[in-house]
Amino acid sequence: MSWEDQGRQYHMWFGHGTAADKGKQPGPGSSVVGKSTADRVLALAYGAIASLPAAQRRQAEAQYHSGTLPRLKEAMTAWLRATALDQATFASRLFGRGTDDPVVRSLHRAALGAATATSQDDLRDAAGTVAEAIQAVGINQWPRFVADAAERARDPATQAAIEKSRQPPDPALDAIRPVYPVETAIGVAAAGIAGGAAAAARAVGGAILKQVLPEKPTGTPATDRTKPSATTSSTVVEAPPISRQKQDGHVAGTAQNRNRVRQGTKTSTFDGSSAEADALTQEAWEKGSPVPGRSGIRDYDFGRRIGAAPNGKSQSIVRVHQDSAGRIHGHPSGRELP
Amino acid sequence: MSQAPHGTSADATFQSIMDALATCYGSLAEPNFRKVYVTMGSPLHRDLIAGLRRKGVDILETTDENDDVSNQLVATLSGDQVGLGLSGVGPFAAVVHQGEDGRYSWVTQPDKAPTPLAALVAAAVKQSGFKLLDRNMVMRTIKMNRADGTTEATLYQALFTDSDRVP
Repeated sequence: MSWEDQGRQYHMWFGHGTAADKGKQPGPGSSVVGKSTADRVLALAYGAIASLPAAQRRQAEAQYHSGTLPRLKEAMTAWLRATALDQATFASRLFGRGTDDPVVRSLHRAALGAATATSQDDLRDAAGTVAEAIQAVGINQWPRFVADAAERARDPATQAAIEKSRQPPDPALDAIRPVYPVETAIGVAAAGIAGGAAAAARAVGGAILKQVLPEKPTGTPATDRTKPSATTSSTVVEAPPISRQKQDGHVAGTAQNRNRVRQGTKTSTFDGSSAEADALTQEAWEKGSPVPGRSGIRDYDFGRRIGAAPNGKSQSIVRVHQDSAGRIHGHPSGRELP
Repeated sequence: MSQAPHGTSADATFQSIMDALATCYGSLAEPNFRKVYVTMGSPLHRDLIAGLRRKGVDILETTDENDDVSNQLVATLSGDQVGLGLSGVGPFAAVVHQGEDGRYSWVTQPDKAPTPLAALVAAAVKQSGFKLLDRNMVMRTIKMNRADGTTEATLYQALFTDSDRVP
């Protein structure tokens, strides 16, 4: 299918097509209830292009043909499946950015909109929000942004977090803490009575939007390296396994640490035991920001001394490396504290 | 362990790398890393970085000597970015550009660089006396006893950074 045909199809998907058999196409308010995630992702991807100015649309089309489309579909599929994640986890895992990042907020809103869309209008609105994100990133930078997002979506820890978030809630916990605030539950019920299932679904979507996109961002942005750890994820994530040999190179008293010192390798060392180093490393991987230009490396500033630099001075950052097998190891890093 | 084919320029490059590794580390059976850090802070490296900055290129240094045996830099100009690694082992460099399709390309010749920035960086690096390596070369493995107890390394690990994730 050519781009022109695809564009026409997805215009029609939103009820704006001009084909001869337009009468058979869904109208703006047509229901999309029951559409698969794959269908919604395709609508979002092509609809975003359709929402761009003409000049950028042609460039985006060329980018799609040169490999961006499959990566975008991969990333978007993860975004739509990740809508149950809390905002901070969504931002850090899928984008390596903070909750206050405007691009992340747009894409989060778009994912929620697409995931809970009940009509063509809803999907068109979500696609328009993706187009805003494309323009905010910059059309020239968009393929790199998408490639990075797709890589993050493939991260086993990210996939585990998403799957965890999609599991049915624990009834025992629900008895203590409702999934939605009471007033929202009443609203959902009322919508269900007044407008049928589609209206109820929209109300739930709105509730989710309110929960994850508060007017003022909460928690510590993942990209803010100046503040101590304060953000906690509501999603329990199975952390990547530790690369034991490499990790112990940064734990005092281990054979690996002695090897490094003997070889003259500059070595930062954690203050605590192996277990404490593991915990800091896994927390830093969970909350850290990607290091520009470095694949599989994240930094996180704990805002307090966590170990010593090779010269013995205090360090507060943990740099974490992930190897090709998914294992991680970390070490104190960065500027030395006074 | 990979063997370089005889009588090729790749063979000569491989041999020059092995010579530099032996000179820098002393012995790959019991390497000593102290010389690496001296070279990383040498005028050869600092002058090249300063020269790129004078040409208007924004340079972000992401080096951490816990794992890096090279100066790791991200060069940015007019929205384009190039990754640059300057080895502390010897005059070897990695210039890597990520294209619009998200794929990485290793720049080995300025006149075949994918973007003006990649050409500028590659030319500056080459003029400073560094050899621009390609991905095939740095993926070769050698015997090298390392602190974590492993006994093999890629040239990428021996020359640039202790990671098995190569762009």
